[in-house]
Amino acid sequence: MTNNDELDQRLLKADPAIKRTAPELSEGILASAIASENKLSIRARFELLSQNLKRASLGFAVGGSAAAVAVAMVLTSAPAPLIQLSASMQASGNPRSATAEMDGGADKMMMPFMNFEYLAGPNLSDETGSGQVYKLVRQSSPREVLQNVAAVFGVEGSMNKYPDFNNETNPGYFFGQSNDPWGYDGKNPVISLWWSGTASWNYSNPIAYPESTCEETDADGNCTTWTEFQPTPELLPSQEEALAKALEVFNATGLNVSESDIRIDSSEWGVNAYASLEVDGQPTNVEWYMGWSSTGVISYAGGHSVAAEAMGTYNTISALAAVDRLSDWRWSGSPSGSFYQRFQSSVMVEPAPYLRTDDVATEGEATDTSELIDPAPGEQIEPETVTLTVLESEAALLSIWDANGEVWLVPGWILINDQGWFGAVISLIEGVIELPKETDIMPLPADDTDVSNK
Amino acid sequence: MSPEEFTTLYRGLLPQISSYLVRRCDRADVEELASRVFEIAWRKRAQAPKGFELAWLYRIAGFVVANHRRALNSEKSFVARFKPLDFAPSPEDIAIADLSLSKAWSKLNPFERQAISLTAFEGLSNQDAAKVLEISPNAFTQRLAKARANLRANLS
Repeated sequence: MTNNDELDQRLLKADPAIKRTAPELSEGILASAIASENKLSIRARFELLSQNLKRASLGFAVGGSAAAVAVAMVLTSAPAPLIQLSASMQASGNPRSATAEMDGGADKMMMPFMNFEYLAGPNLSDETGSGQVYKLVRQSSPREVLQNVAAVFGVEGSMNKYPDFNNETNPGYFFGQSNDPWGYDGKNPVISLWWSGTASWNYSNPIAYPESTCEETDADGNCTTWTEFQPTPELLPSQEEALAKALEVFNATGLNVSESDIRIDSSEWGVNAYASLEVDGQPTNVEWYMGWSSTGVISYAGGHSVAAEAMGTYNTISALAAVDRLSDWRWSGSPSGSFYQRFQSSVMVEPAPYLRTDDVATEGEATDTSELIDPAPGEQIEPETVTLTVLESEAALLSIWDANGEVWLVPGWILINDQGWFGAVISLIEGVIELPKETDIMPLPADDTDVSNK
Repeated sequence: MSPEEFTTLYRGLLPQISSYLVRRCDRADVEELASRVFEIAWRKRAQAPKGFELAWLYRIAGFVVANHRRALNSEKSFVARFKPLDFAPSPEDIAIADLSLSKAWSKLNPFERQAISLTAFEGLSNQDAAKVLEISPNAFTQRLAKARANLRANLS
């Protein structure tokens, strides 16, 4: 054999998906995926409610002077927590949380056999302090938000409710011209809005992307060669143009920023702009964003309709004490994306001992060619314990979700370790937040992203 | 990312994920495995790289397939648990259409099969395939070239 074309033709004909027809997957799979997380949140709420009912019934069961004692005990006991934390959001909504590190697979799917141990470095401060807690409160109304965003992007049409995912706690709407129940027809731009949490909206323009055309078909009329897109950087906005437009859009949709607050990220394939909500001078992970596709047209954008309401000042623990919280996923919070940008290129740990490198790097180019090998016969694959020493800390505002689907901004510590990575933990003293039960932990199941010996 | 954004973004990728899975597993298992893929994608939605969502889904799907295969194999053999992860269509999958190609395919290692399948079957560019494997495009190009050379040699 056989030149490249012949090999390609032979491979195409041997594609298993031709003979073994792929089943059509329904969108219900996506709905179920989302609901699988919400079920845990409902369970967490039920257990909290059960605990509250038990406390109440105990009070009613005691009679006479004993009841007076019970009341006195309630009056002199600790105040109720300000926030009841959601179990599911803490475990899954924080991409770089302590949970992700403990999961061992969230970022490093090829190196799953790891446990992490955290030590405090010598320079961490043991000073306690205090910080303001904010609740993010939705502003305006769904209709007004959609109409405003539609005006900004020149979208015509009307407002509709989504057929699914609509319930009292999480109503969803869209605005556009399509008759599709989801507002998507592949031809018209659409704006969507979910009236819960931070009331996030999203603009999407399906015709902003280049169309793929078939260049070659086989004898049966099946396409064998699709257009290979080339970048068209000449169509993209310049840095200045992107900044000016992003400033206009972000300000018009409720985010008061200046050009210096906007980050531009560009390649020959497209341009993206981001800016985050700042509260009391601190960046948060509540972001506005927009992007231009390779055609130079705005293809997507998103933002929120929310304002931060101060809920009081509470005491906080020291950075030194916070190191212990890295091992408990319930204390994790989401920091501003700027922290991920700073630490994005850091390599977390040395490869596990069962990895080896292969291939030869080209001249002047470092390549990642690590691959797994079989362990020696009879050798058990034991998890490797990696010790991370926290060397530095920075105060930051972290976002967390409560059991009612509301978002809060709370004081936290960014704890930077000796591998150049970080964990973000809430720094409020115990008692301000009611944590979910530790048994409600839901890191990803071991059989999904981790290598598991079943 | 809201539920609506997630659905809008990923509904268009359902056919590709179905095809990816049916190339590697029994058709009867595709729906269950696809459910696992999107459950993980939802939980890790904040990590999805903008513009490379399909490559990211393929990466998740690869691990779901590999662990599914391990689960099936480990029921038969304890030692099978320690085999390297295998993300590509198997020789048996290829044999449906081309027996001699299947034999040549079986002589490739899992990483070579993976490189060829991502480009030849999933139709990814070298850049996107490199994203799936989280290696540099240059490293992927080398791996693919070597894999194709080995496959041609095995067919000769």
